[in-house]
Amino acid sequence: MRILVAEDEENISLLYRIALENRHHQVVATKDGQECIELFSRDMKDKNAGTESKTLFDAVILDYRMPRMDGMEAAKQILKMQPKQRIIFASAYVKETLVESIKELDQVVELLQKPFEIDVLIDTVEDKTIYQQLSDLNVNIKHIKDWNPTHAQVLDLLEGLLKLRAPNFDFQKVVASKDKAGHFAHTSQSAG
Amino acid sequence: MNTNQLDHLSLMEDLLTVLGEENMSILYHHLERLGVKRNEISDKPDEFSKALRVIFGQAASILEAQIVSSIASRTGQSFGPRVTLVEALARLKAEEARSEKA
Repeated sequence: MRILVAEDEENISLLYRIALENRHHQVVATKDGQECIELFSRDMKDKNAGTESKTLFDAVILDYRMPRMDGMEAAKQILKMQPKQRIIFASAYVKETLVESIKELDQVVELLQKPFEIDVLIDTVEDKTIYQQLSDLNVNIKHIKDWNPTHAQVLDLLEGLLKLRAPNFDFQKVVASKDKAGHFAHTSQSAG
Repeated sequence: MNTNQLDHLSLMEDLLTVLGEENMSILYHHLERLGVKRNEISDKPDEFSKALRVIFGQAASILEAQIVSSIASRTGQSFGPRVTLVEALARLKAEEARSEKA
């Protein structure tokens, strides 16, 4: 994975980098929110202009409190540029971060409470819990991993399976609500 | 192998390997309620793809890619990485039509 980190504490930033690189992830570290969004923006422009073959960042890890620009403001600006960007907050102020993220951001973000063991960061980045739940549902996760899925794809797969398995799941209603043209509704009616 | 021979079982075999029998049974059950029977998936790829997207959101593309890759290995065709199930089946049918004319 390609991961962008914004963390003003050098030691912590270095710890993230070493741990993530040990897991073969590519890490780009920045010192504050300002530098982070400048780099993110440049990366997007390069990508759009086709001058870089790199993919966009799979995850952005943001410290909450940082000089020049805090993590929340950086998240807002990143999501403006890339609305589906995966963002992970590392914050010692969990309640504040949670409340503010719900108020300020249109997208669900992930939250790690500082201080945390470095394994927790790795497990979060690599979606360990989601894969475990998929495995519990007898999904062959090795096959899934072969496709290098994004976090959103793995999460959608789990949520889809949980929906399907829910006792009261009404697929017809879900499809009808998503398909105003009524194609599926028509098909199911004609199927009796 | 042509689309007629590309029956449901071979089409869905790899997906079964990924999702497991229980999940596939549940998926079939819901698909049938929508009017897509398990032996009609290759005839109704649009409906099937749409259903996958509704249920699995962004993960639908992985599941479709798995099926397309399965079709490719079974037919000896090579599809690009972004070819959808609908496009793959349409291409196979077009090739069949061409070879029948020839």
